[in-house]
Amino acid sequence: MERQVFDAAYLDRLRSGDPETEKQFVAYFRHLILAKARVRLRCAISAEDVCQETLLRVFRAVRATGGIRSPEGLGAFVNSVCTNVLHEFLRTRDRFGPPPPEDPGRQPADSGPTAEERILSDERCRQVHQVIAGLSQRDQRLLRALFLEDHERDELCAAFGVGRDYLRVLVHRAKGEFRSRFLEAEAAAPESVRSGAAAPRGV
Amino acid sequence: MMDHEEAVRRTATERYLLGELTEEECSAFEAHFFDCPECARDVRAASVFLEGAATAPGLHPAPAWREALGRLRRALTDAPAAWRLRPLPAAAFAVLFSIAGYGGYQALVVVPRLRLELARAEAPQTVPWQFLSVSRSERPVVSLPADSHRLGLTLSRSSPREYPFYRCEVLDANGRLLESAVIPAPPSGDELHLLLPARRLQPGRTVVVLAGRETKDAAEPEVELARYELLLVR
Repeated sequence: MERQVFDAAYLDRLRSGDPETEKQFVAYFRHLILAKARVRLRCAISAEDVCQETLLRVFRAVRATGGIRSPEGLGAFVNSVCTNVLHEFLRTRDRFGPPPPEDPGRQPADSGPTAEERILSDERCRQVHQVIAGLSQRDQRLLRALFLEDHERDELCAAFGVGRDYLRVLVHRAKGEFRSRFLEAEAAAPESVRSGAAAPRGV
Repeated sequence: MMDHEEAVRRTATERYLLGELTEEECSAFEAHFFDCPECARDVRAASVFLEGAATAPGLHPAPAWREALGRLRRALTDAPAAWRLRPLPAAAFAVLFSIAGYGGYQALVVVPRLRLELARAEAPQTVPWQFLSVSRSERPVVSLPADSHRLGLTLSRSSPREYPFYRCEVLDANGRLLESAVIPAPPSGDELHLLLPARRLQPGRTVVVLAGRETKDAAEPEVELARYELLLVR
């Protein structure tokens, strides 16, 4: 995805609630926020909650009277909001303990994707699956162990029989291959699939 | 804030994802990639992979497999050598049965997983330990932290006679049998040291029954030597 220039016109469109601009904004920042929250929390479900809350606050701040005025500082602003949400989340967790395990069958009434979002999401998943299937078995194993199973680095070293430096090289190589394949596939996909994200609920 | 050259030179994305950055470096890299399109792409690719891989076919074990793997994992991590003989075959059988069904999945997930679990089981760890004596005074209170996999017990000598083997049984407050094993006698004059898997121990009164045996043969009669009591708190 090409980076959108965050200029005054962009900020105006965002402030006025232009759907395409909102979609592009979410598509750009959502995965950055998710990555940060996953690294900090080591929990995919909580990371998604933090991401939604962050985007919600950013949109509110952008639309508020006297809200953000400097378009070039948008990235830094999103990062600082995410940091605040993370701190609040961690404080709450420390005080009240972790949330009870979620019932996978239960969906909040107003949080499910729309039919259009589901189709886009499915298409995007197929795209990612194709990219994953094209990776070597070893790269798949490594990326899965690293990202999906939340293993400590030393555990990964033990499992793959490698030292820490070599692990980093492997991760670099596997991630690089995934990234280039993914970007190729993404560039070939229609724009609607490429965006693949909608503004958070409640905006 | 970290600049792009530094981020590339230090392979910051990899270190970030691997949890190798200090808190300060972490914050600096986050401030950077929220503002740097190139690093943002890198981080975003990893995030998209996560989201897509979570639903990728073949990357996740089926429920039956996951359950069998869980049993093996518990057996490997919780059972010390002397007590492993009983629970492991059932778990191992379930896992082997599942491996036959899931074929190629073994190479992808099982082997790394088992190696990880073995590494965990063999890693140094602290174990709560309690000395127990046969006494009519108040039973000792043993605190077992939630993350403890094992509880160590030293049983005081209870009989002037020594046996080549001992049966140890662990009963809960209702007299329900939690664990049972025949173990060889310690070197002459030593006390008996037990390492129990913590997962089956329940909070409350716990009784360890010690019986002497001449052989390991199950049909051999045994002589109850002592009952040790403790109050387990978790």
